[in-house]
Amino acid sequence: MQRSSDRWVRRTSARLVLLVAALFAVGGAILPGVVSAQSPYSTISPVTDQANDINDIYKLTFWLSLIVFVGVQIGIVYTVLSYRRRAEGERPEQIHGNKTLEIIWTIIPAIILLIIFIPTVRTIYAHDDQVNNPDLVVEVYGKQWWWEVHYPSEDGESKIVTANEIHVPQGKRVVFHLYTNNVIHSFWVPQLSGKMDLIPGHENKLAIDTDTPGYFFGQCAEYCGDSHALMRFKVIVEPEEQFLAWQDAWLAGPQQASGDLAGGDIAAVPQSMALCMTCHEINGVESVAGGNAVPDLPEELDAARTFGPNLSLLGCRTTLAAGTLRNTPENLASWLHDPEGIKPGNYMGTVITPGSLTDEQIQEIVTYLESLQPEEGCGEIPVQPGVTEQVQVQDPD
Amino acid sequence: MASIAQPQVMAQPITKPATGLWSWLTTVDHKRIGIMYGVTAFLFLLLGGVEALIIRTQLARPNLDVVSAARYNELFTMHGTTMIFLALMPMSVAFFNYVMPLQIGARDVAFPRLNAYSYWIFLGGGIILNLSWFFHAAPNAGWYGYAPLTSTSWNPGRNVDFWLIGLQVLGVASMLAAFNMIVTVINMRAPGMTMMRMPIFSWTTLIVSILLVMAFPAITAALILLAFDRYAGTGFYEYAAGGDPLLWQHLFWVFGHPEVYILVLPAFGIVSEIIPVFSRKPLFGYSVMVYATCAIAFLGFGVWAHHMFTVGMGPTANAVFAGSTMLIAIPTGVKIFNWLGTMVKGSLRFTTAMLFAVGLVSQFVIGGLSGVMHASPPVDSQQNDTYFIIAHFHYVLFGGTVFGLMAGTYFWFPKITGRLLDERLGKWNFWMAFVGFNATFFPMHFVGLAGMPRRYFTYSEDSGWGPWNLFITIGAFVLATSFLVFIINVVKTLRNGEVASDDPWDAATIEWATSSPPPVYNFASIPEITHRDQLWWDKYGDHGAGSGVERKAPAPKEQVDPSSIHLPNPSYFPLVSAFGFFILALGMLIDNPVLTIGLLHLPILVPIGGLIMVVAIYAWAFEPAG
Repeated sequence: MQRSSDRWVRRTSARLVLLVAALFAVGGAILPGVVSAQSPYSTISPVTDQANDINDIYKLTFWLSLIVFVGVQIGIVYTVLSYRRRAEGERPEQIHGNKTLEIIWTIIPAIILLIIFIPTVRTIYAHDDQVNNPDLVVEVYGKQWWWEVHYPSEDGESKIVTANEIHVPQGKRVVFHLYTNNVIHSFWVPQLSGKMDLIPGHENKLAIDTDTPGYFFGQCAEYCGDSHALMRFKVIVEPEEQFLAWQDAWLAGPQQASGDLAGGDIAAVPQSMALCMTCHEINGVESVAGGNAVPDLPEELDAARTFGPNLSLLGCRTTLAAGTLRNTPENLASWLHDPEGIKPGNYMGTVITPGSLTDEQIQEIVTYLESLQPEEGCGEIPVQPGVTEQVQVQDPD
Repeated sequence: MASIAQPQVMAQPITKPATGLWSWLTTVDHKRIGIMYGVTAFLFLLLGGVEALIIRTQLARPNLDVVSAARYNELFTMHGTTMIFLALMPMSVAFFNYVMPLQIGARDVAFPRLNAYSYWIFLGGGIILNLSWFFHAAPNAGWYGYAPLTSTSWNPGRNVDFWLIGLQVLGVASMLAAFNMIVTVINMRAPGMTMMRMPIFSWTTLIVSILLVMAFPAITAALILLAFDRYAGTGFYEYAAGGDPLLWQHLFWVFGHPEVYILVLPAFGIVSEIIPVFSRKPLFGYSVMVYATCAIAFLGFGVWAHHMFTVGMGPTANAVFAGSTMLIAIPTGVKIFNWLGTMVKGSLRFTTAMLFAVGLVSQFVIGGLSGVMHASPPVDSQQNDTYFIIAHFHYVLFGGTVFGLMAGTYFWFPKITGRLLDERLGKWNFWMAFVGFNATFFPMHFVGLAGMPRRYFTYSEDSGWGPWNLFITIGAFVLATSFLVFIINVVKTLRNGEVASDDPWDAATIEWATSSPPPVYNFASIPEITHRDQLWWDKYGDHGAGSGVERKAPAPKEQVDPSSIHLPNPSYFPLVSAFGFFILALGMLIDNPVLTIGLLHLPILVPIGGLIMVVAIYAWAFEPAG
């Protein structure tokens, strides 16, 4: 009786252990892939060589971990089920240890770690080397809480300065040079590569090979103050001709696509923009009549943080306020009405509060800014196959 | 009647536990101080838990507005700071205080009044950190306070000051406690207790205390530089002034990584006591466990820069720190396997303490494995600062530390109070914690892989992170409920729980040889130690094998006149001095009249507090110690 019930316990234990192991293995293998690859920020859906290299090591560590995990859990569950106390007086053999076993379970993990370490080191050095051979350099400056993007040029004159939407040509090695003059940020487009921090006084570089066209979502990954969560951006990988066209359009300066404004001239900036132009720039616009007289600019708005995003070609951007809002006239109007309410802590909100601008002024500014587009239109943004047209925004209420 | 033979009323020493508030305020008894540490830390744990629940509520759906962005940032900063410095560390110190002296057969710690001083300073530091809420200046730069977000240019309020002064105060408490524990373990072991006969938890106490002593100076220095930057306008961390923000990161993590082991090793020690007792087998590979603990502590100082793989240190530094980080997985793995080896062929009894202990073994593995993943810098560049990391370290600090501390609580509760916690409620407690914990933290791996960064007060609908976040929030409330069950269990047990015998678990170490709860003097006569697992030796002789081994009746307790035992006097000077320190620290934070002496602008509370502190220490030095 005793023996058969023992056997029953053991057989049931073995089955249970197998079941648990199978559940863990299947669940562990499938779940992360299924649930995590859906996001536009997925770290396991690489589209560049760099992100692929990283994902390969991740997959290696993942499978090794899964094996160890299932092994250990089987060990625990089996032990727990098999060695329950059956009688109160029972006292098992007093084993103090086993040298051979202990050496084995020191060496096996060491071997597993070596298997991970070798490709790790190889990838570290390979990626580090890549930053020295760029086809195109793009400088990115982290701000609170948006991204300023510079395309350096030989003459310095034709330098492009834009924000939050980074156009790059397809099939090139693009190297981002990362800077900040305020707090630390981290530049991260998960599908393109791992993250790299922006640190005051340091120049960091990150290389990507842009093989797949499309737009890819980025975000700040290092806590940088109030609106850290609203510091999104986009990398737009487009065929080279289209990239060059965008570049030319930018350098030509924005044109007004609509003739709604008096005179139809880019330079005819409405008077209501005077306050805007103390912090923002628009290519081809020197100043606004009566401008540059900022009422009570808060003292902490020093040079390091004063300048807001360059607004040239704003009509072509897909989002406003670093990916916080979709770029529609209504959203632009609510942004101008209450920047603080939409993006807590942002510096525009210290100058413009609800009531600072009248509804008429807001309408005038919206009409002007939305009309800042190239003559031939904005050009289509290529969408990566399989990724639905979605913009990372929240509604303003 | 003749007046001979009338015993003199002794003014001291104290042999019966005194009662009343005053006796607690002036106590120098390591057991009472241990209890005060434990209770205070548990209250802070609840506070940190409430903060976590608010965070989870805010993140339950995309674009929620439960709290403002600024408030959210304060909440996650205080959640981390509270859990690490005010809940888990002091809870470990509670066990060090209560259990270690009993385990090594000492009557108290080496410096009883210093011990009280540590506690009162800790309490003051905890109060300072949390007073910040009432001044609308709760710390808001993250528990890791990266420069230059902590500088006056980017954080002009008092928020960071509360954080840095609070941490400095807590650092003093930790250092004093650590020195006390080290001296106690080294000098006050019972006769015959060699280092390699010492219970493994007392070993852990020693090693963690050494870690504290070596790691805290780094953060103390870092915070002093920060204080200079903020109060005196220097620029140690300001690039524009010739400093470097990365200096902070290096200093902080030289402390911060050993801190992880400071948090988790005590739990390992607790579990290493519990698993043998409920397996009725000695710890598998005791000496290897000791060496593994030492190895983890040593290697723990050589891995700090793995927190900085994305700062651009260059390929060589990244490769080296990846290697050292992976190395540390080896001794940790040895521990897991040795616990398993202890249970194999044992006679396992699943009390709540054992459930939590085995829970630790099982859950810590997950945290260890995910740790190996981001030990690889390329993988880390995708996982760093995402919810994957949050999942990882909660498997370490909750699945590891909290499970271990809960196991310890269920295990030693009868020794501390004389009553056994209810096992039925205990099992509810464990399974709810187990399910709630996994429901909360396992899906964080998924949202992390899906690219959700840490410290985001909100996220967009299109990110795809919404459904799992809702699931996580529900899990968090289940987890919180498990603590409610624990509280009910404690209250119920204290009222009318089952009375515990001296040795309710048939345990191996000598704290179970004395009464439950132990007398003020711990042991009537100090036990002689002849073997590791002394109490098992006393009960079973030559560690008898097989079933049906007779348990020997405990040797009759020696009748010693308690009044002949020399014990330290109670003292209120530790409390007074700690109060002075508290006032001094507060003087740096709240508006109070400023005394100007030449170039020095001194808020008046600073010298007043300093004076109280120093005078009390002086008085304490001349107080008869008993």
